[in-house]
Amino acid sequence: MRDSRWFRWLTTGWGDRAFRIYFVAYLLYVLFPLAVLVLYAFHSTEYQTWPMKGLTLQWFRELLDDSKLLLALKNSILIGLATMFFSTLIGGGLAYGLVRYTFRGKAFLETLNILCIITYGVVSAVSVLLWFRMLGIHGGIWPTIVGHTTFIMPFAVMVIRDRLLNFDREIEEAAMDLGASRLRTFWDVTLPLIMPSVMAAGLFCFTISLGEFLLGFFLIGNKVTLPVYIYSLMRFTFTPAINAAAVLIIFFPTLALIVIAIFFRREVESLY
Amino acid sequence: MTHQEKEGRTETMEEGTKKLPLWRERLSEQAIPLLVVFPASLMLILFFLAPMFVALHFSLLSNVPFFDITPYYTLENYVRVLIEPIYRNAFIRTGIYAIIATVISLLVSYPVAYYLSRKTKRGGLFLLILLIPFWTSIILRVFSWKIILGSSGILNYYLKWIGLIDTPITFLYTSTGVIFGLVYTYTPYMILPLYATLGKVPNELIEASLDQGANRLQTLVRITFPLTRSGTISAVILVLLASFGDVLSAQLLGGANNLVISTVIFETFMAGSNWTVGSALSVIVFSALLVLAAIFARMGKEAEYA
Repeated sequence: MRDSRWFRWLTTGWGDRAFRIYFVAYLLYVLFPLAVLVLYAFHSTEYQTWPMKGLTLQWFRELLDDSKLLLALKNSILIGLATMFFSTLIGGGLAYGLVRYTFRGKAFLETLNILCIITYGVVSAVSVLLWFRMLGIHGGIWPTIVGHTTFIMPFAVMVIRDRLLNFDREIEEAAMDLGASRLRTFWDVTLPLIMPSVMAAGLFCFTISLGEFLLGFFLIGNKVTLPVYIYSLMRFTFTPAINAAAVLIIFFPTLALIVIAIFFRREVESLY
Repeated sequence: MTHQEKEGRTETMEEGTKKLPLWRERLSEQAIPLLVVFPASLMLILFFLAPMFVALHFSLLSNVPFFDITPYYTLENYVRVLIEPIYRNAFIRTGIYAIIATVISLLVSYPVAYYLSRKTKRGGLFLLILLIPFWTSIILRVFSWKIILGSSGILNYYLKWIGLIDTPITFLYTSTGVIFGLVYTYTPYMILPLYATLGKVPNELIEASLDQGANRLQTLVRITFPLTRSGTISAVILVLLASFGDVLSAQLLGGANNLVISTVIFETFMAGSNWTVGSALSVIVFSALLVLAAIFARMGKEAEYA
């Protein structure tokens, strides 16, 4: 009995096992709300009670008939794509400048960049709203793109900068010693090397923009983005159509995450 | 590569390519950094920095300048914000919620980060899975807790089922609901820096401590905690910052009785009234955020030199 495998299992290794059990419990806690969200999208009554009554696809049909929601989805994707494009383009520029050159105001820009990320919140959104109002700009798609690009671009800077810091500059110098111009070197050597981080940054920016609520709420004017539309549904009604919309939104980040997990593990780590 | 080596290399390169006229050399040395950095800097200065000064400007006005009445400069808004109990209470509540949520998420996250960085080889992968909710819209995460915490929701159902309670507990529209939301939403901010900082603790130190006869608890308290101090403080500040700026947890899980300052700002601007008071509130909150950010920056530097 004392020599049995069970006994050994029971009496040894509890330190590590406790950690593992705790971690699994935490993992379940983290994923549980998302599972609930998806589950209730198929609930056959409109009350979100437990246990569930039955299953239906009715809410998805309702969703597809909701022209306002489709419009919101379209706006969100448009804003997300534009934010992705501008953030990686100009964020990449800033990252390149910060890593490769020394110039006046460099420390200031670095501070501004990180400050922009960590102080993001309702204050950022309303301040931009005030500023736009002062300039006579009314809400809409473009103001939202400007807002999103400003506050999401710093993430792209972080990701691309990390990559630039960690690659072998001698390759670049070799190209220039062999007679390539700076531009040529950048195009043929640097860019291909940092491309994975640029793509990962683009994916991050798109995902963040798609789910961003505060800036969208204040800058979109009389149009809607997806999170803003969901918010308005939540405030006044309580329909599982929200869950159906949620499934659509969760789908993308999860997909993006799988892509990231497979191709861009390194880039994720540069975020922390 | 050290800075000096780099300088040396550019010098020899310049000797090799002397055909380039001086002005072109100057241009590429000074114009290129300006050119690549310019658009992003412009965005940050124009739409992140400038709006803060605009908010400051508005907070000092007697009324918004969009109507016919000409505004004058006054401190009235700040006086109102400090005197009226609705604002004062919201500030106090914000502080309390943020601190409670931060403490709970530190307690919850530390073992998770410890496991991820020291107890498993697949920490990076697990971390990615933990980040799924982080990538989904905050509005959905809060909405989901609304479903779970409801009086006929899942949590109450199972609490009753295991016999812990007879009548459902009201979680929604109470401070408990808000804290649930805050902790869930912002633990990733805690785990990421903790994971990074715990990963840097050298294994040799921990083994040495165990070899010298210290038990695991002593090793944790006297070796691991001090070595991860600045990383932990950074993590705590990130969560504090985020909880300060959070609107939705308090609004959708806390309801009208649990207004925090960000929600008050949100609703002031949404209603379109009293933007000057809203600006004063924003300026105060942003100042608090700046103080926290300064501590954060200091801790980052400390961690680098450690």
